[in-house]
Amino acid sequence: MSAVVWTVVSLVAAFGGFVALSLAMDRHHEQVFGRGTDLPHRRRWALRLTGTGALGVSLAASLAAQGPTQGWVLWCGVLTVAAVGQVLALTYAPHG
Amino acid sequence: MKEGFRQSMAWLHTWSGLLVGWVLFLVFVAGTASYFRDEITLWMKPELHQAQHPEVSPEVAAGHAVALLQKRAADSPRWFITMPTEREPGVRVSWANPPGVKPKGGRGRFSSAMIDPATGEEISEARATRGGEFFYRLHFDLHYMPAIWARWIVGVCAMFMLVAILSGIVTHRRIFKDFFTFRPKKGQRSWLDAHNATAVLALPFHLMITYTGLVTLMFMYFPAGVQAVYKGDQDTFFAEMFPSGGERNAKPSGERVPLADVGPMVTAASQHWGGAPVGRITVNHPNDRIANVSVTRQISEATRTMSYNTPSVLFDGTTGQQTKTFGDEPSGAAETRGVLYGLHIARFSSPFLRALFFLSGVAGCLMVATGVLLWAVKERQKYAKAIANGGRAGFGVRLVDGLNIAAIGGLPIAFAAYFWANRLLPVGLEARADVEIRWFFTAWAVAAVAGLAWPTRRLWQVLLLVGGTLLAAIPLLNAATTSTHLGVTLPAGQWALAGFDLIVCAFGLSLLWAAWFVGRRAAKKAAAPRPAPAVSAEMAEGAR
Amino acid sequence: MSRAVFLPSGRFWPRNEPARLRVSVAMRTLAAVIGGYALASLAAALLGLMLPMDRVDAVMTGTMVALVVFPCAVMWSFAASSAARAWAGLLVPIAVLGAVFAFRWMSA
Repeated sequence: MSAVVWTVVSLVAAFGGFVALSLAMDRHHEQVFGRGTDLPHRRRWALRLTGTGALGVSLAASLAAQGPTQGWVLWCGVLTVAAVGQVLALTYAPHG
Repeated sequence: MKEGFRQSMAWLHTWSGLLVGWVLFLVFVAGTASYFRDEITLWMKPELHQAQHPEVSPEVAAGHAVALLQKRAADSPRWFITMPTEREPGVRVSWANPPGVKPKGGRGRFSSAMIDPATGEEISEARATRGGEFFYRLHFDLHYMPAIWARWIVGVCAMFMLVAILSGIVTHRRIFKDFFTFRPKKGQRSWLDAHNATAVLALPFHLMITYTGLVTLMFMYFPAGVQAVYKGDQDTFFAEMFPSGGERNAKPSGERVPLADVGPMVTAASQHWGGAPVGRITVNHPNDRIANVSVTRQISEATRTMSYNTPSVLFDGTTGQQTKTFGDEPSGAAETRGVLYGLHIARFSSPFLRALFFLSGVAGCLMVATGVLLWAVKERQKYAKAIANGGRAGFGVRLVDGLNIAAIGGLPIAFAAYFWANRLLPVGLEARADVEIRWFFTAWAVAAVAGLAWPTRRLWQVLLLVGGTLLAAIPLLNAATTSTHLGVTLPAGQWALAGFDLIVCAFGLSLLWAAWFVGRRAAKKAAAPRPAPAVSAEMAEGAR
Repeated sequence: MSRAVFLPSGRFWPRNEPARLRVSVAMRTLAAVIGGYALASLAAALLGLMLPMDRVDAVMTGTMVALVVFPCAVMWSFAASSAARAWAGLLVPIAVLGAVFAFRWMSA
């Protein structure tokens, strides 16, 4: 797979990871699902695990795209873009 | 103890950031722009926009360069040839003026020219402009002062910045909990959220860029290591650090021997590095018996290394034989320094990675801006009662307000003036490059003086409006003054030129939106003044 | 010794005298700048002299370390519970490193 494809995978995985990790937090869970919805203990940890796993996939994809040293640099940039995207989505996307 | 520690770090963060915030804003904006300095320079030289650049082998390009140098600079003690890159397609040749020769329009000791790599013809002079190089130099050499002073000022500010980042990390109690938090339309809380977000979400970049920036000039800032080990002998130190540079100072023999063909040297060097492209060719004492040619590898995406160190191969100038190689196996320390340097300059990066660096740089600019603005908002709350009774805010707040407008509102206008000057000034103008730069600083000075004199919300609106309009109108200006406007560059796939138009326009539109936003907030504030208890509760919350 | 408490805005609780606080801040700043720079420079010099690698590499490494020592010294100066402790916390390592450096310098 070409570097471009791996980079896209990395971006998507990072974004997904941040979605999961943010939903594992009370504050953002409420933002998306409304106040009063309980976040059960198991689901919280499932989200955290999935989120962290997705970030790991993102790292692997970045390393595949640009190699063992530059890949880390790419990953940091990908994380920034994905995190900013998630913050904007949480703040401005219409909620249920 | 922990409370005291966090609080003391919060205090340190505030002051280490605030005292130098406006210089840092300039450094960040100019530095971020520098990621695309080659593209900016190209945009500012419309005469070069149409130039076709067919693929030319490096040997041919080097041959053309040498031909021109033999014609123009046969007696020069030193020639430099910079090979074409993807971002700068011409071949730049420069030479040290032989002693006693007055340079023709050149600057003091060196003269230079640009040639087309395919034909060997000198590229007809595009308009004189510093282009993107101005922004690059600005962010560490500032301007209108000796470089040494500027580098000390910027270095001190960079160290303040490093302290601010580290103390900021320590004091940000809810760094994970607040990771995704942004609450707009909540006054001071929103400013804090914005400052936190722009800082934390690009934190690896901010740490890296600040530390690596200090690394680039570290021997100037902390000379103790060099002094202790080399006992003051700086020349030996630099010779050991950059071994390939030492071949130039041998005295010429005076015996004229024709220079060997440079083309095969280029091929041999490239092969030595596994096919990596050649970046620079330095000829010492051309056409002399002791001539030598140093061929240096290019720093580019192609070489797959982040290090700024460039290995080189040395050739005998008369026989063309390879004599020595340098930098093939750098030590751990040299490689570390090279990578740190390389990360700062980011020449190794692919276009996409460069765009990510640029976005992180923009985040850095926003981080600095929201920081100084947040301080002013917080501080002004203390005078809310006094202001409501017709009094004035304290001197500190008024000064910071003025500096904020001058820097944040004024700098975009300065950039816009520089680009407008580039298109509007007559091409043959004397010292044209300096005049463009003077427009930059004059426009900034006017905006800054206005900002310091009337640090009001209305003036914010005015400056944001002016800056936003001038920047957003750049594509129109381009269309009116050249034939390579968006209508041409987009279909032709000239991404550098189209990208400049689009990105600058986007910045302009953001400023216009900000101007509208400032006006709207002012209208809302006038309609419904905030009650005092909510203010102090928020302030207490913000102080945590 | 009264313990100064800093708030983000730079203001302070009324129970400390304003003048004493200003002196404390000034002393800590001096410690940070002078003491910090001295400590960082000593670190660079000593690492340059003593690291088991080519001297040019040792100097490079030592100087890169100094760039980190300095901000840490600055943070210590303001985190220490008093200005006196700030100075002490820097002077002790400076004295120790200074002694080692003097020893190396003499015997070199």
